Amino acid sequence: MGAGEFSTETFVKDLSTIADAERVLSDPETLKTYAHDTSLAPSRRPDAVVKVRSTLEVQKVVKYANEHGIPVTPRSSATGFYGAGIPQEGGIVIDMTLMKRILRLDTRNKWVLVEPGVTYGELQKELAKHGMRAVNPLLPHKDKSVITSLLEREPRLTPKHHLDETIMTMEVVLPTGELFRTGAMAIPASAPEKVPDEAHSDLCNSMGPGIDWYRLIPGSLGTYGIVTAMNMKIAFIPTKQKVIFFGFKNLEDSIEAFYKIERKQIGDECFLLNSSYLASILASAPDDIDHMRSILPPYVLILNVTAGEWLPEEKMDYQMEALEDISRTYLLKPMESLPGVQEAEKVIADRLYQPWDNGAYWKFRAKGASQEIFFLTTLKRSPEFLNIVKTVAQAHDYPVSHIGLYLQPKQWGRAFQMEVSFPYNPEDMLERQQVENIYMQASQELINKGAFFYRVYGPWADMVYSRTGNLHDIIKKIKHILDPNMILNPGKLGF
Amino acid sequence: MAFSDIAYRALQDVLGEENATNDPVVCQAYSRVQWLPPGVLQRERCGLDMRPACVVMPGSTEEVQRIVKIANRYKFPFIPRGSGFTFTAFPTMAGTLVIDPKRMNRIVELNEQDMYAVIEPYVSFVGLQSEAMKVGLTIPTPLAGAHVSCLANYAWHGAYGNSWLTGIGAQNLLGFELVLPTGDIVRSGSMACPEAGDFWNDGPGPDLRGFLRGGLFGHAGGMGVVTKISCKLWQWPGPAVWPTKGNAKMKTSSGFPEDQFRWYMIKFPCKYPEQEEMELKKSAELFYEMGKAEIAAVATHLAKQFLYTYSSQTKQDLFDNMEKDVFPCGFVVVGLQASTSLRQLEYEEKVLKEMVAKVGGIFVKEDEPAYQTWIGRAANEWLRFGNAQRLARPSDNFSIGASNVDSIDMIVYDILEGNKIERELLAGPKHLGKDFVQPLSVHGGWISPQEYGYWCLMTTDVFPEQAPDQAREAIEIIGNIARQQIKNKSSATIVHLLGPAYDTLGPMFGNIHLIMKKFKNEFDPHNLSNPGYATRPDVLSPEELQKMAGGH
Ligand SMILES: Cc1cc2nc3c(=O)[nH]c(=O)nc-3n(C[C@H](O)[C@H](O)[C@H](O)COP(=O)(O)OP(=O)(O)OC[C@H]3O[C@@H](n4cnc5c(N)ncnc54)[C@H](O)[C@@H]3O)c2cc1C
Repeated sequence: MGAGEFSTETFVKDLSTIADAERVLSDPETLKTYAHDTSLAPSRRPDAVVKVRSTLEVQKVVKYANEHGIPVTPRSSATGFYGAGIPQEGGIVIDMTLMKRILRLDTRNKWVLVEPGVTYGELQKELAKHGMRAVNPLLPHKDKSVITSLLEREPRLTPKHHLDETIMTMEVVLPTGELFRTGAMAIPASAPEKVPDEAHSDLCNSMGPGIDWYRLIPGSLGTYGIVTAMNMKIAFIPTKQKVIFFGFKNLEDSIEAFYKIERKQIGDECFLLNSSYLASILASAPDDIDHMRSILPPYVLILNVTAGEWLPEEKMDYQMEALEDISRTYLLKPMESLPGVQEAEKVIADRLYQPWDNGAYWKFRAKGASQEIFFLTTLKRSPEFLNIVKTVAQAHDYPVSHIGLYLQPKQWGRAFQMEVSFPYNPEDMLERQQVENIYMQASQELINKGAFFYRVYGPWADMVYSRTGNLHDIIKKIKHILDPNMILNPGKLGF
Repeated sequence: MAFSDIAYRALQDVLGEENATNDPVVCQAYSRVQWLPPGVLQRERCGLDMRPACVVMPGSTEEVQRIVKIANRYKFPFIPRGSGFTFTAFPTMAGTLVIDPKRMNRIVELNEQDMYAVIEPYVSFVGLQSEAMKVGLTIPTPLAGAHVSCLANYAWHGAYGNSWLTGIGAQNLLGFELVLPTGDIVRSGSMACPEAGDFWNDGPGPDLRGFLRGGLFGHAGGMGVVTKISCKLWQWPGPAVWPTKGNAKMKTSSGFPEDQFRWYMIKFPCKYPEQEEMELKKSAELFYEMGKAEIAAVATHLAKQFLYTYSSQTKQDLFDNMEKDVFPCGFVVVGLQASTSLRQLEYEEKVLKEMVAKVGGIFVKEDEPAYQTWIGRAANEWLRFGNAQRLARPSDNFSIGASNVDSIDMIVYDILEGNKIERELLAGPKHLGKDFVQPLSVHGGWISPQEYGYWCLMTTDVFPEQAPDQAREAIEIIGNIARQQIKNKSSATIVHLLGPAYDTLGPMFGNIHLIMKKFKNEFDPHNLSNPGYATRPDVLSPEELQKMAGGH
């Protein structure tokens, strides 16, 4: 039976036996809000939304969907950026934003166990009470689910190797509706948070059973399973921190020093922004962005030097000394503030562990919307890729100075996520079209030249998988094993 | 169909006569499984059937692919192997083809700036490490020994003496190229994308390292042949050329320049075994503190059994040292390296000293026999060549008793439980282990914290002789410990999932055995790639399985 044979009424009635009627939504206005996100991905409406409160409800909805062949799209963040939570073929959206429990915190073993609706703001607030913090990406949106951010593999701000893979164990509702728990969480227990009480485990084994699910499921864009709980590595809040800036005229000039800082493992959070992106963060109000951009160095490397509980002064000292050494070698000037920008160091320091909380999301401040392209590269190739982006933008008469750039080292500089963004006015259809054209053309050219699009959203799936031989066949076979009825999030990853 | 002359000729056509042989003398050499009780029993059970029908030495991925396609045409089993150090690399049935990668031994790329290497299957740990050290980088080393295949180890297991920073094999693997059991080739990580370079591990899309490995062990050649991997290289501030004098004796000091790398041994004096709990718990406390401060490059706790075996130069030496009580208890071993600078190393030393004082430990002095024996003779080898011969020295064999992966606290608990059970079995009516080398076999305690202690690995080992009776006894001991671990609901049970164990334990873990069978059937429909792994594809009824797992 297909979704088409259901009237909305039947649908809603059936779902209302699973969740309270007020959490089953089908009015057109509500459905519209689930039809799009902040990306250029085309709008697609679900037929119904269920705001689930528990794993059991997720299971029931997925089983119901399997019985009737209805697509299911999971969604944990109230805001999406990449089109991943938009249903491609109608059906049911499982909205997990109400699953907001922080289930367990283990400060000794440095992890926290949360449900999918927990946002960075909520989590950081709770962890701070215990002197700890989540390992977060750059200024996440206030509505961003921590779990989704990890499943989508948004890069963390720290290049520390041991924090690169943050996911530990997970509770997953498989596409068949069956419950599965990964790593140590697989030990039989009445609930994920009960494992340490009912079993001999502290949930500190991420691997297995059978498959390394903690690796297979992330990156599948909700097509391999719905994660309903996850424990993840967390870190201590530093006792001392100092934000250091290095300014560069050209991206090329930063490369050698950047490599060196990473190789010497100095500091904690570390990243590079161009003046356009940095201005969007530092400007006190959106209409200040242009001015801010004009006074900032074109490229700014930001490094948060930190120390913990043990001899913090001495730790800060040896790191600063090492930075000075590098600065001498590469003729750089480490700055503890940004000339012309009041308290930039404080603004950055205060926000490193926080979501964006200053009105419109920082990436959208300049023009109301923005389209991003991101991929992995080795650092030395980043200028080449930036040139490709600039050339395409120029060819489409897009002002190059508006392009945002963010470079995030991973694994002490083995790889860098490079993100470029094109702010645009969403009300201006011509500008939107212009950015869409740039997005498509630049993506294709970058991929052709070897930019590694590891997170494959929307149109990138075809562009990437057309070049990777059998890979797509394999991930599709896995999809068929896990999701024989092809229920879960169809239309994503080329499924 | 099975292996036949026709298949043999087809292989020779593809590889040349010199690279495919069914000479029984040569083939016999590929059935010499050593050490580890399952191997001893495999030899007893299979006898001549452990001798492969044919051994091939492909020189390229394309040749591997053609071999696998021939296996699929004539339906005979094949086993990929590295150096053939562990029992899963050996045939369990007649008519098996063994794929020896000796000709695929190139370091394809060693990228100093971006810290990765691309290697073929027969590159050994020592080969890659020596090249890496020349440019200030290194890799971890399995206790199995640095002669084993780095690729085989990363793809299927990987427990190291120095994984405080690096994690196990799973964490060291980046991209890979895999000839699937059907002969199709798949590449994962940035290796999948032409022009991208081989620097990165996950994507595009789902991370297929999750498919290649599962848990502490991977699929043991049951999911095709890995023909190339890229792997991480780690910062190495030490000397570009390993400081060896003469042979590997290194009697008096580590030989590392003091401004680059320093070793420390820490003890919590105690009476074994009465106070081992205190000793292990204090060690754990030290690791938790070190993890908080994120210091050190090596941090591990070694029980007597590792200390004596790995530091001995001869069997006599081993027993002499035991007689002299050189290691009266377990020790924590820490290595600090100047990753940032000498000042950083000195800072870490200062912090370490404060921590050791705080948890009530004592630094072993350089003139103490324990220091001279371990640091003088063995410590460097944990970074360099593992050397399992030494582990097997007491009895020409060794067996894992208990093993697990979890928090440091849980690992301490599991060591205590494992040792307790081993001692009870020894004292019990059957005196299990009485002919093993004792008391070494009941003094386990390898705490191997990973990634600054976010998780931890352990084993306790026993030392049976290389004889079927003792192998059976060792396996009975493992069984007893595993049963207790199941009763305790320990995550160790997940760690034990390998081969036939899936059927027994799978029902406890979301019926993972059934999921694995689907994977095996999908990717290896004729069950040719090391049959028996990843999981036995013959499906038992759910009722039978429930019964086997004790009604969970
Ligand atoms: C005394 C002793 C101590 C040990 N200590 C350790 C230790 O400390 N840490 C550790 O990690 N291991 C240890 N082991 C286990 C084992 O020897 C190692 O894991 C080692 O990596 C095996 O390497 P190898 O090159 O000999 O691989 P093999 O034994 O040849 O192969 C290992 C497995 O991988 C499969 N395989 C090999 N090559 C490929 C390929 N190209 N594609 C797909 N599958 C392949 C084989 O089929 C086999 O199942 C120990 C073993 C012994 C006997």
